[in-house]
Amino acid sequence: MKLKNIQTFNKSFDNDDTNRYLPWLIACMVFLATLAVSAIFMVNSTTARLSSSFSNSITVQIPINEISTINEKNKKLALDVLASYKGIKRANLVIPEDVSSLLEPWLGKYANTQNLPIPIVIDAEIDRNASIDVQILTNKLSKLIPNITLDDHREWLNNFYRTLDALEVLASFVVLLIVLSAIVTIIFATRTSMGLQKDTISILHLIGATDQYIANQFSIRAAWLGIRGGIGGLVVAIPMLIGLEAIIKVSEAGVLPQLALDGSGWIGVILILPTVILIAMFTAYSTVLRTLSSMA
Amino acid sequence: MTDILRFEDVGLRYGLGPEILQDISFGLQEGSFHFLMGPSGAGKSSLLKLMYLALKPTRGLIHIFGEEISTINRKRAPSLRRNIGVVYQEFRLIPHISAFDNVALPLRITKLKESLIKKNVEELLEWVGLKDYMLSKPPTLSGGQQQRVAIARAVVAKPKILLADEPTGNVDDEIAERIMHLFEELNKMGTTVVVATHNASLVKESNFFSMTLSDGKLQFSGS
Ligand SMILES: Nc1ncnc2c1ncn2[C@@H]1O[C@H](COP(=O)(O)OP(=O)(O)O)[C@@H](O)[C@H]1O
Ligand SMILES: [Mg+2]
Repeated sequence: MKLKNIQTFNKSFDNDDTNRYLPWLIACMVFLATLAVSAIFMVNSTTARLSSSFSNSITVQIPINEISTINEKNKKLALDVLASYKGIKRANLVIPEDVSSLLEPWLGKYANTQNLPIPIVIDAEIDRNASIDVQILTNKLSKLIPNITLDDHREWLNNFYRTLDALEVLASFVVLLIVLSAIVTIIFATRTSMGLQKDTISILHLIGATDQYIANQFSIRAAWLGIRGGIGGLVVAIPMLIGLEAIIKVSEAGVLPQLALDGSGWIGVILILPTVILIAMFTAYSTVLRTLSSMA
Repeated sequence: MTDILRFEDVGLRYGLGPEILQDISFGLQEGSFHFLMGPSGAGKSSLLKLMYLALKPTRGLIHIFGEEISTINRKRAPSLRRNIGVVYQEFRLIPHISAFDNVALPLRITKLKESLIKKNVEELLEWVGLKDYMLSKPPTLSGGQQQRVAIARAVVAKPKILLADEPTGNVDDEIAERIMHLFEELNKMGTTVVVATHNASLVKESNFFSMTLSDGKLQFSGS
């Protein structure tokens, strides 16, 4: 259908003001949906980043012994076993100064870590392709060095992943709720509008307009609603996301999952607009068809 | 020649009220011109409503374009209605769109090219003397002007049947004559025309068939 036709047709139903608040409502929904969708993408990219940076390393700790020769012996033994173990690419001693600096945020800069019983820490890099059983490795090392502990971060990561998964489910649920409320809103708005436009609808019918034609008019109106509401919501949400990203970057809060959208995240956010338009059009169209055929 | 419209023992009542149309049987030949007479309240508008599929009879059969109307479903009705132009007694214009857009509607639902729509609609509005009112909205027009918009809308798509309910009720004699002339022109081009009127003087001037409703029954008088 030609654009000019659409505009003039559209006017047939353009006289009711009851729906004036609707673009605002849709804008609010789009705003909330944008935040929720961004959260899903952020969680996803955080998960991906964490698993690539943590899943290929094991941290080995040997408690310090009073006798320094035993410490040296244990250190060497552990490094040798690890280095020769199949599936381990590299094993490096984390030098005490580094350990101290890792502890600094907790203990303060001037704590004399020299006198603390800082354990021997070894960082082992796993070959990602070899599925290595940490338990077997632990057993093997424990026999040689009592009190040795191996941490493959799995437990910690699993907890973290579980939290992220929960967040993702929550955000998806929020998106779902917003979509459902948008649909319900449009259904009721369409019905109200149809009630007000009863005369126009019956004139169109008498002239020979099909139900589909009338449904089309309402769906074009709903598209405009989706465009206005969608752009309104995104215009507020996008600067907010950019601002959030900037704030997080400045504060360099490295421990936080990064609150920034990557490329696919931005595509996802932008796709909200056509999605809103399609949902609005389809909902209005099917509501009109259903209402008309139930009136017959 | 087959009847384009045929009533067989049709009766109509509104709700539980009296039967306002009784045992109506007649046929309209394609290309004919009929007046439907009768005093106000005789049932002229109701009879026309049956013809343009806005009402279903409480008894009897109505055939239009060879189809019995109780067999016409929701999907089929629009294409039949497009062949029936109606001038409603109460005009039934869409108030918030211009005279031009009102007249253009029957063409637009057929998805005709907009340039052709413009040409047809402008020509017709000019012809009924509304050249300067094309962009006016119906509520700003006088009764007679609205009636002419309604007439233009009824004829713009060149329907096979034209049903006009008191089409000259609100216009002065000169315009009335023009309108009747327009209907005659359409009739010459093959449109079957039915004009309902309580104004007997309109009929005397022409020599066409007339049918008269009284006491719910229909009587015929040829010419
Ligand atoms: N929608 C309706 N509901 C109930 N009665 C109606 C309705 N429309 C018309 N009538 C009645 O039917 C009779 C015929 O009306 P109408 O067809 O308008 O006559 P006319 O057009 O000849 O003046 C009148 O008595 C009128 O009161
Ligand atoms: Mg009447």
